[in-house]
Amino acid sequence: MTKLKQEIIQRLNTEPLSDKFYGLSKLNITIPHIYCEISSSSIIAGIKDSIQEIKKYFTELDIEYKLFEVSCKGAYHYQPSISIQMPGMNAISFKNVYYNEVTNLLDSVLNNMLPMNKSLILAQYFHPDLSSWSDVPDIEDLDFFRLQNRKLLKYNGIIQANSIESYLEYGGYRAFAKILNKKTPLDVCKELEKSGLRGRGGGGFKTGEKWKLALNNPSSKKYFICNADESDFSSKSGILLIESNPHMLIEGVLIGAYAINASDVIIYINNNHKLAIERLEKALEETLEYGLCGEDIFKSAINIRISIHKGLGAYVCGEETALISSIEGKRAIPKAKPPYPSEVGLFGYPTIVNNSETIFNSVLVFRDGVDNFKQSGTYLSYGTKLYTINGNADFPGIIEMDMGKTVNDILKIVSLPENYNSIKAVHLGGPTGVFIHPDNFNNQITYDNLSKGSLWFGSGSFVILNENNCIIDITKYYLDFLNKESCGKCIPCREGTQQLLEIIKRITEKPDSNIRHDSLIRFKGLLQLKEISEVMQQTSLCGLGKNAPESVLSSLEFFDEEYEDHIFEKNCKAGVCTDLKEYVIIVDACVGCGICAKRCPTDAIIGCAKTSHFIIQDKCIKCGICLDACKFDAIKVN
Amino acid sequence: MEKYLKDLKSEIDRSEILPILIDYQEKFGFLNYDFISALSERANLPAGNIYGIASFYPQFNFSPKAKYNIKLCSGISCHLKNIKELKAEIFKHTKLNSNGFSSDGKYSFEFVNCLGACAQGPVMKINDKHYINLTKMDIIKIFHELE
Ligand SMILES: Cc1cc2nc3c(=O)[nH]c(=O)nc-3n(C[C@H](O)[C@H](O)[C@H](O)COP(=O)(O)O)c2cc1C
Ligand code: FES
Repeated sequence: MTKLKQEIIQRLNTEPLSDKFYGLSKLNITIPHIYCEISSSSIIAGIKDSIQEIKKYFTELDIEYKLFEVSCKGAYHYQPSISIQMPGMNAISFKNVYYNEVTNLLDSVLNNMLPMNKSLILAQYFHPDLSSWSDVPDIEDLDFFRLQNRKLLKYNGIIQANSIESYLEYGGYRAFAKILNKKTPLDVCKELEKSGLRGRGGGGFKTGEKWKLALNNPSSKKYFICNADESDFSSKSGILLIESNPHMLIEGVLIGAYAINASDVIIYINNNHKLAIERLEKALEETLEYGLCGEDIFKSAINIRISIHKGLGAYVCGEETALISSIEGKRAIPKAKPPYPSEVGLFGYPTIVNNSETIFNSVLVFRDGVDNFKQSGTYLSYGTKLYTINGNADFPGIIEMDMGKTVNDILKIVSLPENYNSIKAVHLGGPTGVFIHPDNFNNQITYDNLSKGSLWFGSGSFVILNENNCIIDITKYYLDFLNKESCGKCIPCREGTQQLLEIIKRITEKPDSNIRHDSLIRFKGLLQLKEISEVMQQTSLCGLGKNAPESVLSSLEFFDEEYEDHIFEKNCKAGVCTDLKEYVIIVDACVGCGICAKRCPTDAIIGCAKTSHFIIQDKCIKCGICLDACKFDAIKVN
Repeated sequence: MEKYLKDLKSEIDRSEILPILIDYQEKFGFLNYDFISALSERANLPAGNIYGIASFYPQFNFSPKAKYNIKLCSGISCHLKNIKELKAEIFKHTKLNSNGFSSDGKYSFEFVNCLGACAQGPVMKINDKHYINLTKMDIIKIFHELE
């Protein structure tokens, strides 16, 4: 065994962990330390340009400094974000540092002064032995962070994702070392069962129980699969976790593989998440080098091989049996269950598929102990859950909350109080999720969706909708997505999504002809929506078809007045369903100036100069540009 | 392609096909028939099977993209920010046909599902460059530069 490997065993077993945590603020710093938050979204926001600017600044002035790439706090509205620690001072975090702000910012901070542009200042990491910045809040006092319960995200913005040393510093791999030393696989399963951890992927199956099933299977070969497909694009929490802390995922799958006696781990990840893959690959290399995975880990005669399998973004690939087919190199079509993968899975061997967030949580259980884990959450739903906040949020991003919190609790963090009243609904759970009416904002979000009124988080995507959004348009959007993604194997799902979509489309479009009972036909469509939904829920093969009508049903239940508006009044209050409208030119008022024809993006307006023009309805996309352009009020909307 | 094939193993397991296809598309931009048939020989599967695997994933292309490949995000966040107008503006500048290509072959257009910068939407991607917080004016400017 190499020296490095022996050193690691020593360290993991003996090195004490300091229980005090001061974030980025560190003692004994002699030169400026710059921490840049890198994640896939901050790269798009422009952090790379800012980094270049920082490097240029320091080389030009010839000052010594150290630059670290750290993980992202999960607050999209603060990106691009950097933190700086000057010797003897608390580390201070800045937000929205675009490349043109860098020079001014560094000019002042390097002189231990706050920048002129106060809007850049976010917070400082308080440390009792360092001098603090005046008038800068402690990061733990910021509402955005204070109101969350950040357990999985605790080290976000602090830990360096591309370094195993950084993870070891914050207690990494200790849980795994402890398990290898002291616990049998059965102990691990039992402890996990006691913790009450349940799958975060949507199914909500008890993870400990699932592992035990696989452990009790006598098969000689077993697989452990991490489902990091994150095929629901509106949910980014799993990917954020992997991007910020790939080693924690690896520790988790090692624990899982040990618990079920599997020798092969496959991490299935969507190829669109380039940064996450890159970091995982780097992390795997490091773990191999440190002897934490591979053959004969810590001389325990346990072999665990980890490999990464790339997929390519099809929603249904997230379903566990489809995912297994995809890995086997077949079309990713779900299979009927039972048999469950824990009996017959990948290549016919017993297989456990777990969501990435579940795996992260299992590390917490063993690192901090069962009791500690059970402290957060509510009865039967323990631990925390990550939500991806989208839509009309004032502070979009990824937040972590205890299980059992209400929609209002989340809104308090991500919305300004003055915008509360304009929130019309929240859509929770991704394409197969539900609309939540403000009347239900005080209901708990838990697994226990049987008890009255509690809500179900699905994939954790949390979309805030206000008056400018049309519920029916969003229902249509999700149905369209599901219709495209339906694998086409079972008829209720393939045809059902198609029919639902057709009916909703008809509601949002202008009537074909002006027949009198058109509204009645549309109204009949509403009744059919319910019938079709019921059939789909009862007869579809997999969760996609079973849950596809959720959006439709919940919108029908809570927002029926919007449907009525569309059907009888032909009116979309939010102004989104423009297809209900018809633009026509009033012949007498048109002088034929031709401005509208020039502006029209689709060349839908024709006519000779100085004579009245005409709109070709089939080409018209109802953008309204002509209405704005016309100086003679010659265009009217029907 | 010859060289790529040379570096590939001579016998390919079925489960390796998808990663290979992804890798190939990343390098060459699309999957061509010659490659699929060469792959099918090595994997000992009919070419139709390989095509079947690939066609399951909407992100595989079977024909090359234009010089400027425009991707407009239609993820939920961007959808809520009313991308209809932006789409109209893009169509106006590129004179796209119904197959998503402009008649001069310079532009191709597609909707994609979330480009990963939801807070800075609407987002558009042309080849490898992202454009965030798009407005109609931005699009006019971008196409002015491209022309
Ligand atoms: C249509 C569909 C899509 C799914 N997508 C995902 C996904 O993207 N990620 C995920 O972890 N689970 C997804 N699941 C759930 C998985 O089938 C499975 O329940 C989960 O990976 C089990 O892990 P857990 O026990 O840790 O929750 C999806 C299920 C369905 C029906
Ligand atoms: S929805 Fe457009 S970037 Fe995410």
